Amino acid sequence: MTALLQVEGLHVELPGEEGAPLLALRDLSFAVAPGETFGIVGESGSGKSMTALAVLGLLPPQAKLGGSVLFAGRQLAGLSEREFVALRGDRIGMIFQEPMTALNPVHTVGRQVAEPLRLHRNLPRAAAAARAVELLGLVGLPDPAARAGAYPHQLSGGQRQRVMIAQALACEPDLVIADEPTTALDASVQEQVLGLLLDLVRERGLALVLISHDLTLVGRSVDRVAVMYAGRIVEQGPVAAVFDKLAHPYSHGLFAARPRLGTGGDERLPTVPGQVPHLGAVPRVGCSFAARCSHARPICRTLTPPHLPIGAGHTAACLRHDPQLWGAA
Amino acid sequence: MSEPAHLVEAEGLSRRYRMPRSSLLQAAPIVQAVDGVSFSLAAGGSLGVVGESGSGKSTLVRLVLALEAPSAGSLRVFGSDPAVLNRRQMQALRRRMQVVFQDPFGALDPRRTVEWIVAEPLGLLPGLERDQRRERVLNALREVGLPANALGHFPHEFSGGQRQRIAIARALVTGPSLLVADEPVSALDVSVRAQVLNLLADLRKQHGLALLLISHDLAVVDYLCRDVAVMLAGRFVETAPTQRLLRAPIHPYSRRLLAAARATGRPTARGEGTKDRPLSPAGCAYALRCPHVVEHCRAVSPALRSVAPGHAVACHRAADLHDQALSSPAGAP
Repeated sequence: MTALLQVEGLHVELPGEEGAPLLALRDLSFAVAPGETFGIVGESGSGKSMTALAVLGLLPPQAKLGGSVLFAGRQLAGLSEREFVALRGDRIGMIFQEPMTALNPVHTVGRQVAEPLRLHRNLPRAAAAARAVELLGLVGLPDPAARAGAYPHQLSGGQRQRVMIAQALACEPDLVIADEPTTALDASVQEQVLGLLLDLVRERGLALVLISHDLTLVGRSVDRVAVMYAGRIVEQGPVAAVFDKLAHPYSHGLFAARPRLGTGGDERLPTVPGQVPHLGAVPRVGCSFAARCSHARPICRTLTPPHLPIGAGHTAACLRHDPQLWGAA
Repeated sequence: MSEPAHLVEAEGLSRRYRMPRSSLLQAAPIVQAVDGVSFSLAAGGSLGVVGESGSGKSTLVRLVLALEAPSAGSLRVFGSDPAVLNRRQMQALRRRMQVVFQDPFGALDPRRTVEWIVAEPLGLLPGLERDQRRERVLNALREVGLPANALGHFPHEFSGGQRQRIAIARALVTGPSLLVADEPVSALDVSVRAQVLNLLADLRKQHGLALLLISHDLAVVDYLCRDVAVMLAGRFVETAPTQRLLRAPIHPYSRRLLAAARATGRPTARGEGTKDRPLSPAGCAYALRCPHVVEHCRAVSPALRSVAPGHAVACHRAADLHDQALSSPAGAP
């Protein structure tokens, strides 16, 4: 099985305020196969959105990118803006969190769904408009012919997010990158919109990268998952294996602290002490999580943990899983 | 002032807004953001109002805080109607009722130090000496787990969770007996959210603080509140002790919220959809989406009626659904 998206040793540096560059992404490696759904989970500052921007060529101009991003065998690292424009919205579809800002308020939603078809497929205006109505129907917008003439503010949050999905799928991409696609929605609407996206992706055999802070939701939606912390992937593997045996103390803490029904008030919620560090405060060597980790030993601060095998396709960047090193520490 | 038995008493509380009209020939449509809500909150009690966006829960908070005047109905906060209070009485009220909002970024003045921000409500307590003020501020910071050296720093130097702690310290500094919290942990990361929830629970226990909590998240209400009210289209459609609602919800909308919170397995595109709701629907606001709808529901709006002690439901089919709730697991459709 060859990967559709193969990210290898991805680094992103941003200029820091005090001269020293900030490491926004460190040594990121993951692969997504055709037809596979891959989840990236993390809290704010973990680098999960930065990962999407790096793959899509949307990093700020002063950012420095290192490593390799292969998409369908083609190296994306170092492509020009012009080459990225040809790729985005065509072979790679994008869905972002806030459709109120991602959609253009002065154009009708029909025109916005038709836009990639005009741009990438050179469809005549009428044909693109007709296809846009089909797409709006496909994503479950009631009365799509009439809704195509609506402006974003005339639609509900869930409907706007459906429009984003229609736009992302317009050119039948091979890969869809969705960054918090349902976070702004009410729980029951979120369920439907994400369900719709997953159905469409599966029916078309597309690959999906789903980025979210919501561990539970991602766990329910994807085949494989990566947990990010302070710019690194700390654990990744098949969802069932990872959830069955959370091997990194951070994933474990995140899982235990997630809000859920039935806590009933008297028991205290398990917490992860401290907070996610600022990029500038993340140590260059050693484990980024050591300062908050209840298992940490001195070696955790001097040795950057490699991705150690836990099970089939399941790795965790935690020295506890190296019996020799940990035993000696 | 002595403490009345009920810190908040609302009776038929309503708030209407006039919407912009779409044509000069038409009357401006009116939206009923809060529509005849009645409840009371006892000293030391805790009520969680849960609902989705647009349910009117934030408008309800604004009414209770006297940031807006009700269009109809009566409201008593600490025994008096905020609308008739003079400035001094209003200050006394604000000292006893403090608020924490969702967004710890927008709620703190970026140009002020933590000391200034936390001390500001002490202006409601006249006659405090300078070192008494500082002592109070330090106490409040200690309670929320912030170090004393936070005093001279500015909000942007703190993370989201710490900023929410500053906001909570500010709310505690006057020694209130009622805390109103509007989505206090929604903007926080998961690992930090649990810390702030534990803090709020501790403060409630230690100070006997009453809590009026607004949340879209039943798990947060479950953790912090003894009682819950489910709000839909401006109305309370079900009120119950929280544990009872989680065990045996009756209103179809409460069941839907619970089912969404408990969902497992791959998300599904099936469901009732989000059909457009008219601004002022006749009949039950849930009728368009309700799997148990009967003709009567579309014509007559159901009133909130008691089904058991402390448990009331606004549903014409409450009796059938009640029997079903007792014989089947919670959250089942």
